[in-house]
Amino acid sequence: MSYKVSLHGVRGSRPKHKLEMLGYGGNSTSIEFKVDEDFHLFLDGGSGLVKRGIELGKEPPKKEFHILITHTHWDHILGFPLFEPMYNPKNTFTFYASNTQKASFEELFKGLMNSNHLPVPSSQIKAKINFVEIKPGNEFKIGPNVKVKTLQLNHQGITLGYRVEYKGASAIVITDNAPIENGNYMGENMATLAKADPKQFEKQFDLGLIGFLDQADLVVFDTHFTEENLKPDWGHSTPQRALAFCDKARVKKLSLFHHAPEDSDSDVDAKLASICDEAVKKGVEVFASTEGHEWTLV
Amino acid sequence: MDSSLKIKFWGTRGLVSSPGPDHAIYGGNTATIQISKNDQFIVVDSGFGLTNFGDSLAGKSNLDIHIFYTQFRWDHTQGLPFFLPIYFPENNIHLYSPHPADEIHKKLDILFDPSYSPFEGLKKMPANIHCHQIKQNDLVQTFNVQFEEVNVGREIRKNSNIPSYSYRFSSADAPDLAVVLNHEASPCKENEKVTELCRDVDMLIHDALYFEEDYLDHQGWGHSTPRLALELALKARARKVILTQHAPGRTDQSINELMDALKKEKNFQNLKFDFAQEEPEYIVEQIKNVKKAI
Repeated sequence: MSYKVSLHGVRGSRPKHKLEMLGYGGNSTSIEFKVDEDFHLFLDGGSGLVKRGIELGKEPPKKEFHILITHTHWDHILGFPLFEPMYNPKNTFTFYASNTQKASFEELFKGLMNSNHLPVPSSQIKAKINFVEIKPGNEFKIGPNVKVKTLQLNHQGITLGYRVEYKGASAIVITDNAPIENGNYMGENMATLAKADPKQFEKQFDLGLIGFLDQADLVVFDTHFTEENLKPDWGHSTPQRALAFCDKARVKKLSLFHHAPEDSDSDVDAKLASICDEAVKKGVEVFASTEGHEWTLV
Repeated sequence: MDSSLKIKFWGTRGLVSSPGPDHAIYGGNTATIQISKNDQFIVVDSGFGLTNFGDSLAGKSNLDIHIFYTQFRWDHTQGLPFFLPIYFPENNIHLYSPHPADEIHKKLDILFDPSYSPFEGLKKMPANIHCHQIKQNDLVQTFNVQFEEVNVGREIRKNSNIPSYSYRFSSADAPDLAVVLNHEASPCKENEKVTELCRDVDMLIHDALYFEEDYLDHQGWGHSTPRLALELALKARARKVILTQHAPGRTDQSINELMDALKKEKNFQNLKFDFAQEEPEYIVEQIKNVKKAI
Protein backbone atom coordinates (compact mmCIF):
# COMPACT_ATOMS: atom_id res chain seq x y z
CA MET A 1 0.00 0.00 0.00
CA SER A 2 1.96 2.99 -1.21
CA TYR A 3 1.85 6.39 -2.87
CA LYS A 4 4.93 7.50 -4.77
CA VAL A 5 5.48 10.49 -7.03
CA SER A 6 8.03 10.02 -9.79
CA LEU A 7 9.54 12.68 -12.05
CA HIS A 8 10.11 11.58 -15.66
CA GLY A 9 10.62 15.01 -17.20
CA VAL A 10 11.42 18.30 -15.44
CA ARG A 11 12.61 20.62 -18.20
CA GLY A 12 10.44 23.52 -19.29
CA SER A 13 9.54 24.79 -22.78
CA ARG A 14 11.18 21.97 -24.75
CA PRO A 15 13.28 18.87 -24.26
CA LYS A 16 16.96 19.71 -24.48
CA HIS A 17 20.05 17.58 -24.52
CA LYS A 18 23.14 19.53 -23.54
CA LEU A 19 25.83 18.04 -21.33
CA GLU A 20 25.84 20.89 -18.75
CA MET A 21 22.19 20.31 -17.86
CA LEU A 22 21.86 16.55 -17.68
CA GLY A 23 22.26 16.36 -13.91
CA TYR A 24 18.74 17.72 -13.40
CA GLY A 25 17.60 16.38 -16.75
CA GLY A 26 16.55 17.52 -20.21
CA ASN A 27 13.27 15.69 -20.80
CA SER A 28 10.13 17.84 -20.84
CA THR A 29 7.24 17.57 -18.35
CA SER A 30 5.89 14.23 -17.32
CA ILE A 31 5.12 13.16 -13.75
CA GLU A 32 3.77 9.85 -12.51
CA PHE A 33 1.59 9.31 -9.45
CA LYS A 34 2.34 5.71 -8.52
CA VAL A 35 -0.71 4.69 -6.56
CA ASP A 36 -1.24 1.13 -5.40
CA GLU A 37 -4.10 0.49 -7.80
CA ASP A 38 -4.74 -1.33 -11.07
CA PHE A 39 -3.94 1.63 -13.23
CA HIS A 40 -1.16 4.02 -14.16
CA LEU A 41 -1.67 7.72 -13.47
CA PHE A 42 0.40 10.37 -15.24
CA LEU A 43 0.41 14.13 -15.56
CA ASP A 44 1.28 15.37 -19.07
CA GLY A 45 3.17 13.60 -21.85
CA GLY A 46 6.37 15.51 -22.52
CA SER A 47 9.41 13.63 -23.77
CA GLY A 48 9.93 12.20 -20.26
CA LEU A 49 6.93 9.93 -20.83
CA VAL A 50 8.64 8.19 -23.75
CA LYS A 51 11.49 6.96 -21.58
CA ARG A 52 8.98 5.62 -19.04
CA GLY A 53 7.12 3.85 -21.84
CA ILE A 54 10.25 1.93 -22.80
CA GLU A 55 10.63 0.82 -19.14
CA LEU A 56 6.97 -0.20 -18.86
CA GLY A 57 7.52 -2.77 -21.59
CA LYS A 58 9.67 -4.64 -19.06
CA GLU A 59 7.20 -4.53 -16.12
CA PRO A 60 4.07 -6.60 -15.50
CA PRO A 61 1.42 -4.79 -17.52
CA LYS A 62 -1.42 -2.70 -16.17
CA LYS A 63 -3.89 -2.02 -18.94
CA GLU A 64 -5.54 1.15 -17.70
CA PHE A 65 -3.89 4.56 -18.12
CA HIS A 66 -5.21 7.84 -16.75
CA ILE A 67 -3.58 11.06 -17.90
CA LEU A 68 -4.11 14.46 -16.33
CA ILE A 69 -3.42 17.26 -18.82
CA THR A 70 -2.30 20.67 -17.59
CA HIS A 71 -2.40 22.28 -21.05
CA THR A 72 -1.64 21.56 -24.68
CA HIS A 73 1.67 23.33 -25.27
CA TRP A 74 3.97 21.09 -27.32
CA ASP A 75 6.41 20.35 -24.51
CA HIS A 76 3.57 18.78 -22.47
CA ILE A 77 2.15 16.53 -25.20
CA LEU A 78 4.82 15.65 -27.75
CA GLY A 79 5.62 12.34 -26.05
CA PHE A 80 2.19 10.72 -26.43
CA PRO A 81 2.58 9.35 -29.99
CA LEU A 82 5.89 7.77 -28.92
CA PHE A 83 4.51 6.24 -25.69
CA GLU A 84 4.77 2.45 -26.16
CA PRO A 85 1.54 1.53 -24.30
CA MET A 86 -0.46 3.55 -26.87
CA TYR A 87 0.35 0.88 -29.45
CA ASN A 88 -1.29 -1.96 -27.52
CA PRO A 89 -4.97 -2.51 -28.43
CA LYS A 90 -5.55 -4.06 -24.99
CA ASN A 91 -4.78 -0.74 -23.25
CA THR A 92 -7.28 1.99 -22.43
CA PHE A 93 -6.35 5.63 -21.97
CA THR A 94 -8.51 8.27 -20.31
CA PHE A 95 -7.44 11.88 -20.74
CA TYR A 96 -8.66 14.52 -18.30
CA ALA A 97 -8.34 18.00 -19.77
CA SER A 98 -10.00 21.37 -20.15
CA ASN A 99 -11.63 22.59 -23.33
CA THR A 100 -11.05 26.15 -24.43
CA GLN A 101 -13.41 28.30 -26.47
CA LYS A 102 -11.31 27.56 -29.56
CA ALA A 103 -11.20 23.79 -29.38
CA SER A 104 -11.81 20.82 -27.12
CA PHE A 105 -8.85 18.77 -25.99
CA GLU A 106 -10.30 15.82 -27.88
CA GLU A 107 -10.25 17.82 -31.13
CA LEU A 108 -6.69 19.02 -30.57
CA PHE A 109 -5.45 15.55 -29.58
CA LYS A 110 -7.14 13.77 -32.46
CA GLY A 111 -5.94 16.50 -34.82
CA LEU A 112 -2.37 15.77 -33.81
CA MET A 113 -2.69 11.98 -33.84
CA ASN A 114 -4.17 12.07 -37.34
CA SER A 115 -1.71 14.64 -38.57
CA ASN A 116 0.10 14.01 -41.82
CA HIS A 117 3.23 14.93 -39.93
CA LEU A 118 3.08 12.55 -37.01
CA PRO A 119 6.55 11.00 -36.63
CA VAL A 120 4.99 7.50 -36.44
CA PRO A 121 2.16 5.76 -38.36
CA SER A 122 -1.11 6.76 -36.65
CA SER A 123 -2.62 3.45 -37.83
CA GLN A 124 -0.42 1.69 -35.27
CA ILE A 125 -1.66 3.67 -32.26
CA LYS A 126 -4.26 1.11 -31.29
CA ALA A 127 -5.11 1.75 -27.63
CA LYS A 128 -8.66 2.74 -26.82
CA ILE A 129 -8.83 6.44 -25.91
CA ASN A 130 -11.49 8.27 -23.87
CA PHE A 131 -11.75 11.95 -23.03
CA VAL A 132 -13.19 13.57 -19.92
CA GLU A 133 -13.73 17.33 -19.94
CA ILE A 134 -12.56 19.09 -16.79
CA LYS A 135 -13.82 22.53 -15.85
CA PRO A 136 -11.52 24.37 -13.44
CA GLY A 137 -12.57 23.60 -9.90
CA ASN A 138 -13.95 20.16 -10.81
CA GLU A 139 -13.20 17.37 -8.38
CA PHE A 140 -13.39 13.75 -9.45
CA LYS A 141 -12.27 10.26 -8.54
CA ILE A 142 -10.14 7.82 -10.45
CA GLY A 143 -11.02 4.34 -9.31
CA PRO A 144 -12.46 4.03 -5.79
CA ASN A 145 -9.52 5.55 -3.91
CA VAL A 146 -7.85 8.38 -5.82
CA LYS A 147 -9.34 11.87 -5.48
CA VAL A 148 -8.34 14.65 -7.86
CA LYS A 149 -8.97 18.39 -7.43
CA THR A 150 -8.35 21.05 -10.05
CA LEU A 151 -7.71 24.77 -10.28
CA GLN A 152 -7.21 27.20 -13.18
CA LEU A 153 -3.67 28.55 -13.32
CA ASN A 154 -2.39 31.81 -14.75
CA HIS A 155 -1.19 30.62 -18.16
CA GLN A 156 -2.54 30.52 -21.73
CA GLY A 157 -5.82 28.79 -22.49
CA ILE A 158 -7.28 26.99 -19.51
CA THR A 159 -4.23 25.54 -17.78
CA LEU A 160 -5.03 23.28 -14.84
CA GLY A 161 -3.26 22.66 -11.56
CA TYR A 162 -3.93 19.22 -10.07
CA ARG A 163 -4.10 17.94 -6.51
CA VAL A 164 -3.97 14.14 -6.27
CA GLU A 165 -5.05 12.70 -2.91
CA TYR A 166 -4.49 9.06 -1.97
CA LYS A 167 -4.30 7.20 1.34
CA GLY A 168 -4.31 10.47 3.30
CA ALA A 169 -1.43 12.07 1.38
CA SER A 170 -1.60 14.75 -1.31
CA ALA A 171 0.69 15.79 -4.12
CA ILE A 172 0.10 18.87 -6.25
CA VAL A 173 1.49 20.04 -9.58
CA ILE A 174 1.34 23.77 -10.38
CA THR A 175 2.61 24.20 -13.95
CA ASP A 176 2.62 26.33 -15.98
CA ASN A 177 1.76 29.37 -13.84
CA ALA A 178 2.69 33.07 -13.84
CA PRO A 179 2.37 35.77 -11.15
CA ILE A 180 -1.07 37.38 -11.48
CA GLU A 181 -0.19 40.87 -10.25
CA ASN A 182 -0.30 44.13 -12.23
CA GLY A 183 -2.93 42.95 -14.68
CA ASN A 184 -0.96 39.95 -15.92
CA TYR A 185 -4.04 37.87 -16.75
CA MET A 186 -3.04 35.07 -19.09
CA GLY A 187 -5.81 32.51 -18.82
CA GLU A 188 -8.96 32.38 -20.91
CA ASN A 189 -11.72 34.59 -19.41
CA MET A 190 -9.45 35.99 -16.70
CA ALA A 191 -9.29 39.51 -18.11
CA THR A 192 -13.10 39.63 -18.31
CA LEU A 193 -13.55 38.32 -14.78
CA ALA A 194 -10.97 40.78 -13.42
CA LYS A 195 -12.43 43.86 -15.14
CA ALA A 196 -14.81 44.95 -12.41
CA ASP A 197 -12.24 44.86 -9.63
CA PRO A 198 -8.74 43.79 -10.69
CA LYS A 199 -7.22 44.09 -7.20
CA GLN A 200 -9.90 41.86 -5.73
CA PHE A 201 -9.55 39.37 -8.59
CA GLU A 202 -5.79 39.09 -8.04
CA LYS A 203 -6.26 38.69 -4.30
CA GLN A 204 -8.86 35.98 -4.82
CA PHE A 205 -6.63 34.14 -7.26
CA ASP A 206 -3.75 34.04 -4.79
CA LEU A 207 -6.02 33.03 -1.91
CA GLY A 208 -7.51 30.33 -4.10
CA LEU A 209 -4.06 28.97 -4.89
CA ILE A 210 -3.10 28.97 -1.19
CA GLY A 211 -6.31 27.13 -0.35
CA PHE A 212 -5.63 24.61 -3.11
CA LEU A 213 -2.14 23.92 -1.74
CA ASP A 214 -3.36 23.59 1.86
CA GLN A 215 -1.06 21.34 3.91
CA ALA A 216 -0.01 19.27 0.88
CA ASP A 217 2.73 16.72 1.39
CA LEU A 218 4.40 17.69 -1.90
CA VAL A 219 4.04 20.62 -4.29
CA VAL A 220 5.81 20.63 -7.65
CA PHE A 221 5.79 24.29 -8.77
CA ASP A 222 6.80 26.08 -12.01
CA THR A 223 9.94 28.08 -11.19
CA HIS A 224 11.21 28.70 -14.71
CA PHE A 225 12.49 32.21 -13.93
CA THR A 226 14.49 33.88 -11.19
CA GLU A 227 13.38 37.15 -9.59
CA GLU A 228 16.09 38.86 -11.66
CA ASN A 229 15.07 37.56 -15.10
CA LEU A 230 11.31 37.22 -14.52
CA LYS A 231 9.13 37.99 -17.54
CA PRO A 232 5.63 37.58 -16.05
CA ASP A 233 3.83 37.59 -19.41
CA TRP A 234 5.77 34.50 -20.51
CA GLY A 235 3.65 32.48 -18.10
CA HIS A 236 6.04 31.20 -15.45
CA SER A 237 7.05 31.90 -11.88
CA THR A 238 10.09 31.98 -9.54
CA PRO A 239 11.38 30.00 -6.54
CA GLN A 240 10.65 32.90 -4.20
CA ARG A 241 7.01 33.11 -5.17
CA ALA A 242 6.59 29.35 -5.03
CA LEU A 243 8.04 29.31 -1.52
CA ALA A 244 5.79 32.18 -0.41
CA PHE A 245 2.68 30.26 -1.49
CA CYS A 246 3.88 27.03 0.08
CA ASP A 247 4.73 28.77 3.34
CA LYS A 248 1.26 30.34 3.61
CA ALA A 249 -0.33 26.98 2.78
CA ARG A 250 1.84 25.05 5.27
CA VAL A 251 3.10 22.70 2.58
CA LYS A 252 5.63 20.10 3.69
CA LYS A 253 7.80 19.72 0.55
CA LEU A 254 8.30 22.08 -2.41
CA SER A 255 10.07 20.96 -5.56
CA LEU A 256 11.21 23.63 -8.03
CA PHE A 257 10.10 22.61 -11.53
CA HIS A 258 10.02 23.50 -15.26
CA HIS A 259 13.73 24.40 -15.33
CA ALA A 260 14.37 26.83 -18.16
CA PRO A 261 16.10 25.39 -21.23
CA GLU A 262 18.82 28.02 -20.63
CA ASP A 263 19.47 26.68 -17.12
CA SER A 264 22.61 24.63 -16.65
CA ASP A 265 22.80 22.40 -13.59
CA SER A 266 24.68 25.21 -11.78
CA ASP A 267 21.87 27.65 -12.58
CA VAL A 268 19.34 25.28 -11.03
CA ASP A 269 21.63 24.81 -8.02
CA ALA A 270 21.66 28.61 -7.66
CA LYS A 271 17.85 28.78 -7.79
CA LEU A 272 17.64 26.25 -4.97
CA ALA A 273 20.32 28.05 -2.97
CA SER A 274 18.44 31.34 -3.35
CA ILE A 275 15.56 30.05 -1.19
CA CYS A 276 17.31 27.60 1.14
CA ASP A 277 17.69 29.89 4.14
CA GLU A 278 14.18 31.20 3.86
CA ALA A 279 12.79 27.68 3.43
CA VAL A 280 14.53 26.51 6.60
CA LYS A 281 13.05 29.44 8.53
CA LYS A 282 9.59 28.65 7.20
CA GLY A 283 9.82 24.91 7.74
CA VAL A 284 9.34 23.93 4.08
CA GLU A 285 11.64 21.21 2.74
CA VAL A 286 12.79 22.31 -0.73
CA PHE A 287 14.11 20.35 -3.70
CA ALA A 288 15.08 21.11 -7.27
CA SER A 289 13.19 18.60 -9.41
CA THR A 290 15.53 15.97 -10.79
CA GLU A 291 14.61 13.60 -13.58
CA GLY A 292 14.33 10.11 -12.15
CA HIS A 293 13.67 11.27 -8.58
CA GLU A 294 10.87 9.59 -6.68
CA TRP A 295 9.26 10.56 -3.36
CA THR A 296 7.41 8.05 -1.22
CA LEU A 297 4.54 9.91 0.42
CA VAL A 298 2.91 6.83 1.96
CA MET B 1 40.12 28.34 -50.29
CA ASP B 2 39.60 25.31 -48.16
CA SER B 3 37.84 22.70 -50.30
CA SER B 4 36.47 20.60 -47.50
CA LEU B 5 33.01 20.32 -46.00
CA LYS B 6 32.44 20.57 -42.27
CA ILE B 7 29.44 18.76 -40.88
CA LYS B 8 28.02 19.26 -37.41
CA PHE B 9 25.14 17.19 -36.12
CA TRP B 10 23.25 19.43 -33.71
CA GLY B 11 20.63 16.68 -33.44
CA THR B 12 21.08 12.96 -34.04
CA ARG B 13 17.84 11.48 -32.65
CA GLY B 14 14.87 10.25 -34.60
CA LEU B 15 11.20 10.51 -33.50
CA VAL B 16 11.66 12.45 -30.26
CA SER B 17 14.47 14.06 -28.29
CA SER B 18 16.10 11.70 -25.84
CA PRO B 19 18.21 13.70 -23.39
CA GLY B 20 20.31 11.74 -20.91
CA PRO B 21 23.78 11.07 -19.56
CA ASP B 22 23.88 7.70 -21.33
CA HIS B 23 23.47 9.58 -24.59
CA ALA B 24 26.42 11.88 -23.91
CA ILE B 25 28.44 10.53 -26.85
CA TYR B 26 25.85 10.02 -29.56
CA GLY B 27 23.49 12.86 -28.63
CA GLY B 28 19.87 13.40 -27.68
CA ASN B 29 18.29 16.17 -29.76
CA THR B 30 16.06 15.67 -32.81
CA ALA B 31 17.46 16.08 -36.31
CA THR B 32 19.49 19.11 -37.31
CA ILE B 33 22.57 18.94 -39.53
CA GLN B 34 24.78 21.95 -40.29
CA ILE B 35 26.90 21.79 -43.45
CA SER B 36 29.64 24.39 -43.81
CA LYS B 37 31.85 25.26 -46.74
CA ASN B 38 34.34 28.11 -46.29
CA ASP B 39 32.31 30.93 -44.71
CA GLN B 40 28.93 29.67 -45.75
CA PHE B 41 26.61 27.12 -44.27
CA ILE B 42 23.28 25.47 -44.80
CA VAL B 43 21.17 23.44 -42.39
CA VAL B 44 19.13 20.32 -43.00
CA ASP B 45 15.98 20.06 -40.86
CA SER B 46 15.08 22.01 -37.74
CA GLY B 47 14.59 19.47 -34.97
CA PHE B 48 15.36 20.51 -31.40
CA GLY B 49 19.06 20.38 -32.27
CA LEU B 50 18.46 23.70 -34.00
CA THR B 51 18.00 25.38 -30.62
CA ASN B 52 21.52 24.45 -29.52
CA PHE B 53 22.76 25.80 -32.86
CA GLY B 54 20.81 29.00 -32.16
CA ASP B 55 22.49 29.32 -28.73
CA SER B 56 25.87 29.25 -30.52
CA LEU B 57 24.79 32.22 -32.69
CA ALA B 58 24.00 34.47 -29.71
CA GLY B 59 25.38 37.98 -30.23
CA LYS B 60 25.55 37.61 -34.02
CA SER B 61 23.25 39.80 -36.10
CA ASN B 62 22.15 40.23 -39.71
CA LEU B 63 22.11 36.51 -40.19
CA ASP B 64 21.02 34.64 -43.31
CA ILE B 65 19.98 31.14 -42.37
CA HIS B 66 19.15 28.53 -45.02
CA ILE B 67 17.23 25.46 -43.83
CA PHE B 68 16.39 22.56 -46.14
CA TYR B 69 13.54 20.30 -45.05
CA THR B 70 13.61 16.59 -45.80
CA GLN B 71 10.01 16.44 -44.50
CA PHE B 72 7.62 18.12 -42.10
CA ARG B 73 7.24 15.43 -39.45
CA TRP B 74 7.51 17.19 -36.11
CA ASP B 75 10.83 15.65 -35.15
CA HIS B 76 12.32 17.40 -38.20
CA THR B 77 10.70 20.80 -37.62
CA GLN B 78 9.94 21.27 -33.90
CA GLY B 79 13.02 23.36 -33.06
CA LEU B 80 12.11 26.31 -35.29
CA PRO B 81 10.00 28.30 -32.78
CA PHE B 82 12.88 28.17 -30.30
CA PHE B 83 15.64 29.17 -32.73
CA LEU B 84 17.21 32.34 -31.29
CA PRO B 85 17.71 34.13 -34.67
CA ILE B 86 13.93 33.99 -35.35
CA TYR B 87 13.43 36.58 -32.60
CA PHE B 88 15.42 39.34 -34.29
CA PRO B 89 13.95 41.43 -37.13
CA GLU B 90 17.28 41.98 -38.91
CA ASN B 91 17.68 38.22 -39.59
CA ASN B 92 16.54 36.39 -42.72
CA ILE B 93 15.47 32.78 -42.42
CA HIS B 94 15.11 30.91 -45.70
CA LEU B 95 13.16 27.67 -45.67
CA TYR B 96 13.53 25.25 -48.59
CA SER B 97 11.65 22.18 -49.75
CA PRO B 98 10.54 20.66 -53.05
CA HIS B 99 6.99 21.43 -51.84
CA PRO B 100 5.37 24.73 -52.91
CA ALA B 101 6.28 27.78 -50.82
CA ASP B 102 2.79 28.27 -49.37
CA GLU B 103 2.72 24.60 -48.37
CA ILE B 104 6.03 24.98 -46.55
CA HIS B 105 4.60 27.91 -44.61
CA LYS B 106 1.39 26.05 -43.78
CA LYS B 107 3.19 22.94 -42.56
CA LEU B 108 5.48 24.90 -40.25
CA ASP B 109 2.75 27.21 -39.00
CA ILE B 110 1.32 24.47 -36.72
CA LEU B 111 4.43 24.77 -34.55
CA PHE B 112 3.45 28.38 -33.84
CA ASP B 113 -0.28 27.71 -33.43
CA PRO B 114 -1.66 29.34 -30.26
CA SER B 115 -3.43 26.10 -29.31
CA TYR B 116 -0.04 24.38 -28.94
CA SER B 117 2.37 27.24 -28.28
CA PRO B 118 2.70 30.70 -26.77
CA PHE B 119 3.01 32.13 -30.31
CA GLU B 120 0.55 33.64 -32.77
CA GLY B 121 1.72 32.07 -36.02
CA LEU B 122 4.88 31.85 -38.07
CA LYS B 123 4.09 35.18 -39.76
CA LYS B 124 4.21 37.00 -36.42
CA MET B 125 7.78 36.02 -35.57
CA PRO B 126 10.18 38.99 -35.73
CA ALA B 127 12.66 37.62 -38.31
CA ASN B 128 12.02 37.77 -42.05
CA ILE B 129 10.81 34.33 -43.07
CA HIS B 130 11.15 33.32 -46.72
CA CYS B 131 9.77 30.02 -48.02
CA HIS B 132 11.25 28.68 -51.26
CA GLN B 133 10.15 25.80 -53.44
CA ILE B 134 13.37 24.17 -54.55
CA LYS B 135 13.77 22.83 -58.10
CA GLN B 136 16.31 20.28 -59.30
CA ASN B 137 19.79 21.75 -59.67
CA ASP B 138 18.97 25.02 -57.93
CA LEU B 139 22.03 26.79 -56.56
CA VAL B 140 21.84 27.83 -52.91
CA GLN B 141 24.83 29.18 -50.96
CA THR B 142 27.05 27.82 -53.78
CA PHE B 143 25.64 24.29 -53.35
CA ASN B 144 23.96 22.62 -56.32
CA VAL B 145 20.86 20.92 -54.90
CA GLN B 146 19.29 17.71 -56.15
CA PHE B 147 16.58 15.68 -54.44
CA GLU B 148 14.68 12.40 -54.69
CA GLU B 149 11.63 11.11 -52.91
CA VAL B 150 12.40 8.63 -50.12
CA ASN B 151 10.56 5.45 -49.17
CA VAL B 152 8.48 6.52 -46.16
CA GLY B 153 7.13 3.00 -45.69
CA ARG B 154 3.70 1.48 -46.27
CA GLU B 155 2.48 2.10 -42.68
CA ILE B 156 3.25 5.82 -42.82
CA ARG B 157 1.54 6.00 -46.22
CA LYS B 158 -1.69 4.92 -44.52
CA ASN B 159 -1.91 8.32 -42.80
CA SER B 160 0.08 10.47 -45.18
CA ASN B 161 0.92 10.37 -48.83
CA ILE B 162 2.96 13.55 -48.61
CA PRO B 163 6.43 12.94 -50.07
CA SER B 164 9.60 13.26 -48.03
CA TYR B 165 12.93 13.89 -49.68
CA SER B 166 16.59 13.06 -49.69
CA TYR B 167 19.13 15.64 -50.85
CA ARG B 168 22.43 15.72 -52.66
CA PHE B 169 24.51 18.87 -52.24
CA SER B 170 27.25 19.18 -54.84
CA SER B 171 29.97 21.73 -55.51
CA ALA B 172 32.65 21.99 -58.18
CA ASP B 173 35.23 22.85 -55.53
CA ALA B 174 34.17 20.70 -52.56
CA PRO B 175 33.06 17.14 -51.75
CA ASP B 176 29.52 15.96 -52.55
CA LEU B 177 27.20 15.16 -49.67
CA ALA B 178 23.91 13.26 -49.60
CA VAL B 179 21.41 13.35 -46.73
CA VAL B 180 18.91 10.50 -46.59
CA LEU B 181 16.60 10.57 -43.56
CA ASN B 182 13.38 8.64 -42.88
CA HIS B 183 14.09 6.37 -45.81
CA GLU B 184 13.43 2.65 -45.58
CA ALA B 185 16.17 1.31 -47.85
CA SER B 186 14.28 -1.84 -48.82
CA PRO B 187 13.71 -2.88 -52.45
CA CYS B 188 11.35 -0.44 -54.18
CA LYS B 189 11.49 2.22 -56.89
CA GLU B 190 12.24 5.00 -54.38
CA ASN B 191 15.23 3.05 -53.12
CA GLU B 192 16.60 2.73 -56.63
CA LYS B 193 16.27 6.48 -57.20
CA VAL B 194 17.79 7.37 -53.83
CA THR B 195 20.69 4.99 -54.50
CA GLU B 196 21.26 6.76 -57.82
CA LEU B 197 21.14 10.15 -56.09
CA CYS B 198 23.92 8.93 -53.78
CA ARG B 199 26.08 7.55 -56.62
CA ASP B 200 29.81 8.10 -55.81
CA VAL B 201 29.00 10.65 -53.11
CA ASP B 202 31.90 11.65 -50.85
CA MET B 203 29.77 11.58 -47.70
CA LEU B 204 26.42 9.87 -47.17
CA ILE B 205 24.40 10.73 -44.07
CA HIS B 206 21.74 8.03 -43.72
CA ASP B 207 18.92 7.11 -41.37
CA ALA B 208 19.53 4.02 -39.23
CA LEU B 209 16.78 4.25 -36.61
CA TYR B 210 16.03 0.56 -36.09
CA PHE B 211 18.46 -2.07 -34.96
CA GLU B 212 17.78 -5.51 -36.44
CA GLU B 213 15.69 -6.73 -33.51
CA ASP B 214 13.42 -3.65 -33.62
CA TYR B 215 13.01 -3.76 -37.39
CA LEU B 216 11.13 -7.08 -37.21
CA ASP B 217 8.11 -5.27 -35.72
CA HIS B 218 8.62 -2.02 -37.61
CA GLN B 219 8.82 -2.92 -41.26
CA GLY B 220 6.96 -0.35 -43.29
CA TRP B 221 7.47 2.39 -40.68
CA GLY B 222 9.88 4.26 -42.96
CA HIS B 223 13.28 3.84 -41.37
CA SER B 224 16.36 1.79 -42.12
CA THR B 225 18.57 -0.45 -40.05
CA PRO B 226 22.32 0.22 -40.09
CA ARG B 227 22.69 -2.80 -42.33
CA LEU B 228 20.15 -1.54 -44.91
CA ALA B 229 21.85 1.86 -44.91
CA LEU B 230 25.33 0.38 -45.34
CA GLU B 231 24.12 -1.88 -48.15
CA LEU B 232 22.75 1.17 -49.96
CA ALA B 233 26.07 2.91 -49.39
CA LEU B 234 27.96 -0.02 -50.91
CA LYS B 235 25.67 -0.11 -53.93
CA ALA B 236 25.99 3.66 -54.43
CA ARG B 237 29.78 3.50 -53.84
CA ALA B 238 29.61 6.23 -51.20
CA ARG B 239 33.07 7.07 -49.94
CA LYS B 240 32.10 7.59 -46.27
CA VAL B 241 28.89 7.05 -44.30
CA ILE B 242 27.52 8.53 -41.11
CA LEU B 243 24.49 6.78 -39.65
CA THR B 244 22.05 9.00 -37.77
CA GLN B 245 18.49 9.19 -36.36
CA HIS B 246 19.27 7.04 -33.33
CA ALA B 247 16.11 5.64 -31.73
CA PRO B 248 14.92 7.25 -28.46
CA GLY B 249 16.48 5.36 -25.55
CA ARG B 250 19.27 3.87 -27.68
CA THR B 251 22.29 4.14 -25.36
CA ASP B 252 25.88 5.04 -26.23
CA GLN B 253 26.92 1.57 -25.14
CA SER B 254 24.50 -0.21 -27.45
CA ILE B 255 25.62 1.91 -30.41
CA ASN B 256 29.29 1.24 -29.66
CA GLU B 257 28.62 -2.51 -29.42
CA LEU B 258 26.75 -2.61 -32.71
CA MET B 259 29.38 -0.49 -34.47
CA ASP B 260 32.14 -2.84 -33.31
CA ALA B 261 30.16 -5.83 -34.57
CA LEU B 262 29.40 -4.26 -37.95
CA LYS B 263 33.00 -3.20 -38.50
CA LYS B 264 34.04 -6.84 -38.16
CA GLU B 265 31.68 -7.98 -40.92
CA LYS B 266 33.32 -8.95 -44.17
CA ASN B 267 30.82 -7.00 -46.31
CA PHE B 268 31.60 -3.72 -44.62
CA GLN B 269 35.37 -4.09 -44.24
CA ASN B 270 36.18 -1.54 -46.93
CA LEU B 271 33.46 0.91 -46.04
CA LYS B 272 34.30 3.91 -43.84
CA PHE B 273 31.36 4.52 -41.51
CA ASP B 274 30.45 5.95 -38.12
CA PHE B 275 27.39 6.64 -36.03
CA ALA B 276 26.64 10.37 -35.76
CA GLN B 277 27.65 12.19 -32.59
CA GLU B 278 26.54 15.67 -31.51
CA GLU B 279 29.80 17.04 -30.15
CA PRO B 280 32.42 16.71 -32.91
CA GLU B 281 32.65 18.43 -36.27
CA TYR B 282 33.11 16.01 -39.15
CA ILE B 283 35.42 17.10 -41.94
CA VAL B 284 35.06 15.69 -45.45
CA GLU B 285 38.14 16.32 -47.54
CA GLN B 286 38.04 16.74 -51.27
CA ILE B 287 39.88 14.02 -53.18
CA LYS B 288 42.32 16.33 -54.95
CA ASN B 289 42.99 14.46 -58.18
CA VAL B 290 39.39 13.71 -59.10
CA LYS B 291 37.83 16.03 -61.66
CA LYS B 292 34.37 17.13 -60.64
CA ALA B 293 31.56 17.59 -63.13
CA ILE B 294 28.13 18.80 -62.12
